[in-house]
Amino acid sequence: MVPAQWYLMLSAAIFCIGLFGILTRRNALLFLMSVELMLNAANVNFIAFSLQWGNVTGQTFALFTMALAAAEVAIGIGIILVLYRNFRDTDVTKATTMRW
Amino acid sequence: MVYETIAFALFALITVGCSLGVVLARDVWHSALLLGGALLSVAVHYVMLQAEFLAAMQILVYVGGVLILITFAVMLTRTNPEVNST
Amino acid sequence: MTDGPDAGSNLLPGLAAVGLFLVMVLAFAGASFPAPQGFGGDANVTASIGYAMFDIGNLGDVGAEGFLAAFLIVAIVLDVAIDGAVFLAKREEGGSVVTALTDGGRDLLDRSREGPNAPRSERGRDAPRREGGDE
Repeated sequence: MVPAQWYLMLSAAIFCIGLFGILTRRNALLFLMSVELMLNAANVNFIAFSLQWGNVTGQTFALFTMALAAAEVAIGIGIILVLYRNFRDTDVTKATTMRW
Repeated sequence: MVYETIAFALFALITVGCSLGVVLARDVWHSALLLGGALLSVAVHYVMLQAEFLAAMQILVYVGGVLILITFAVMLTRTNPEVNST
Repeated sequence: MTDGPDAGSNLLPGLAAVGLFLVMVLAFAGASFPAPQGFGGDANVTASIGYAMFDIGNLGDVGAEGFLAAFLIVAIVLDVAIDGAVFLAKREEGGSVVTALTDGGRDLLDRSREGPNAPRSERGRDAPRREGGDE
């Protein structure tokens, strides 16, 4: 196994890329994809340490993370379609109806 | 051991590159495709970590489910990028 | 929609992300881990995941904790996600529920086609339903 620090750094890189995407892009679909990237970074850590400590708790929890990510995407797609239906765009900065 | 390191470096490069492409691509459809590449290379990392079942689930759930859903959303919310770009 | 990264407004988030990455890398570079323990030569990892997920004794080759409660909670969350997706996708129009996923809700956009240059749907089947009103 490659040393665990490398997997930690890979995971940190993916997480920071996802964070950058969330901070800079204005398209709601890009939000969804960036959140997927960040969840994958967490999963990489889980599985790397699962092998590091010889315990499948990390792998089991990564499965739960995948299920939650799928549920989150289902809800997110619904919200984005409603957003597009109401504002004709997926730009999150244009949905300012509730802004006082 | 050295082959393992080389494989890790290669697929880490692919993962980080595809992830950067996701957040930097101008077209949302290109972002979705690059997200698929990133998820597949993460699955390769899982295989290298002796988590074959998780790799299979990653491909099935993410590439087969989540990415298809995102593709649906991209195509359903498609506006004309040439007209709409500012 | 196509918001490409333009240098001015993205500088601060970019610096924040790179700064966080550098902090994390510095922290990880100083960490030291013992030699990885691994799963053993012929351990059945997948079966161990199954035993751990349903909390069935200690039958697996690889040790783990029980995850039965988390499994049930995730099952409930997935049910809620299905209900939420259906709730978001359905649309009441004249008392009947029509799905929004047929056209991405595009025919609803025609409602404001008296606007300046609203994109009008090319399909003719949308127009009579609008005039029909209750359907």
